[in-house]
Amino acid sequence: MTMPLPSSNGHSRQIYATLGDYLRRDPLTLHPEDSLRDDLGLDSLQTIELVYQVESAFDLQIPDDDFGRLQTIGDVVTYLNERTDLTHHQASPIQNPTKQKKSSTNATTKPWSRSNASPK
Amino acid sequence: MAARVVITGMGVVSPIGIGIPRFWKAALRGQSGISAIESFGDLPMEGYRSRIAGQVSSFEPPGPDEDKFFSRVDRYAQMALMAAKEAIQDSGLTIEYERAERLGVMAGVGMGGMIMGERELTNLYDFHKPHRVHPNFIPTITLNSASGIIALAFGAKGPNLTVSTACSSSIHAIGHAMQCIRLGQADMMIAVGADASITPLVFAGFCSLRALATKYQDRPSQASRPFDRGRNGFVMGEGAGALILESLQHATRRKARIYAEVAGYAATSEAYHMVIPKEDGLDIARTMTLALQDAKVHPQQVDYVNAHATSTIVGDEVEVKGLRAVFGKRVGKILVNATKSLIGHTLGASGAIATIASSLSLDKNIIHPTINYTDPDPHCALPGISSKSQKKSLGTALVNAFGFGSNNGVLVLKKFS
Repeated sequence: MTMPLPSSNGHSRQIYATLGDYLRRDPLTLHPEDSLRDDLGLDSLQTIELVYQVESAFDLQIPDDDFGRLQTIGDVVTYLNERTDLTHHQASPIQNPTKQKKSSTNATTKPWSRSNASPK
Repeated sequence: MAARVVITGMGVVSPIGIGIPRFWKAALRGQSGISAIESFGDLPMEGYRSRIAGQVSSFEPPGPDEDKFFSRVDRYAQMALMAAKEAIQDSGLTIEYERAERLGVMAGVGMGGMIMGERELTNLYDFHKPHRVHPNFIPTITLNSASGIIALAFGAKGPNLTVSTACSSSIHAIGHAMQCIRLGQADMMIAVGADASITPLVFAGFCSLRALATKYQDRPSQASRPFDRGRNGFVMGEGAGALILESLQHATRRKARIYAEVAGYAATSEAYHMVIPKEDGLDIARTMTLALQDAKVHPQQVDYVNAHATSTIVGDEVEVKGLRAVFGKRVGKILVNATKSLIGHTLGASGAIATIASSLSLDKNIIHPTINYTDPDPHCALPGISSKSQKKSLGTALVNAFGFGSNNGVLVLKKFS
């Protein structure tokens, strides 16, 4: 059986943790070949939300031109590894993904009661 | 001949209870849902002229793993969805057996998704990262997110619309839902009203407008006091009310329980002032008269009025002038109450919740008290207003709602026979 978390790369683990957090799934159940649309059932808005979560967690912007590359979990991991290497980004994301809110819109989170003052 | 329209299901999320049984029990015993606002985070509460509200503190929407719809919308639409679920269940409708094209949604919303709105705006200005605005921001703040999510949740493929007329939104939503059925556009309509915008910015805005009650801040349950001499503004509330409207034919065919008939509706404009009602009350009277004409009901037949009565000094007085103009001396024989005395002004939800209270009253021949009516203001005192619940055989009721932007709406409800 394929181990979903390739190598002991801590950065990749954090990427998987971020994806698992959005998908509300144990990161260990995610596989690089999983298609975002066909296997994980994400529609186009949900894919945008997933990318938004990744952008927020790793403090980067993913241009529209790169969007088409992100078809599978593996694509996202590879892409982020490339981007963070290129930008010499710190190994750990700016926000602990496991502490991100579960709601996809976080619509019930009142801004005045947020405990985390950092930007998303 | 246009179809007759009846109410066959109801659901509510209110500061005095979630669910019709709790709401009604609390209403009849005159329970107040007004409490102090704990805080707006770091903002200084002393900067707010009013610091109390009708809050639904026990509201807990299902998480995304339990229900895929709730987490996609703002608090007001979550409340609308919860009320709609209860109403559908109460109606006994089995949605999958119905024709989806004949089921519609009509929502009344005043403010919309302000929690998401304020959060994203704050973050944008604080951190200057436009690319960090949430991708769901636009679908969440658009005023039709409640009607949209309800249509999705129940597979309703008939009309899917939102009426936004500030405080009267859901009276017009119910009226237009009735019209959809009368016009043959639908057999069943989920008519819902909702607002949940007790947020730092919206609340500050109402404070700045000097519309909110500033007295009784240390005794919140006494602050909303329609028709009472001690009133000095409304108390903001949050919540949702939902009603299932059906053609009589459809309801009869499936042997549905009928709470009341929605017999008439009228909408007018005063074309006078954005936030102040015209002092003579004649446009309010005209609206009531038009609604009665629509229902083919004579003013003599009216037993009960659920008043708009927000507890503002001018508003309550003007509404009573309107009642006097329509009913003349007989006004003294009509029972009148104000649901806002219990829960505050739930804005877009208020008309729907008042219609629910009125339908229950027609069904059970009892009206809830107007609490805090302890020192009747001579300018708007009426014999039919009481701080206690009142029992009487009721046949016809009016539900009034007036909104910023100089608009009025009135529904006529009849006991079904």
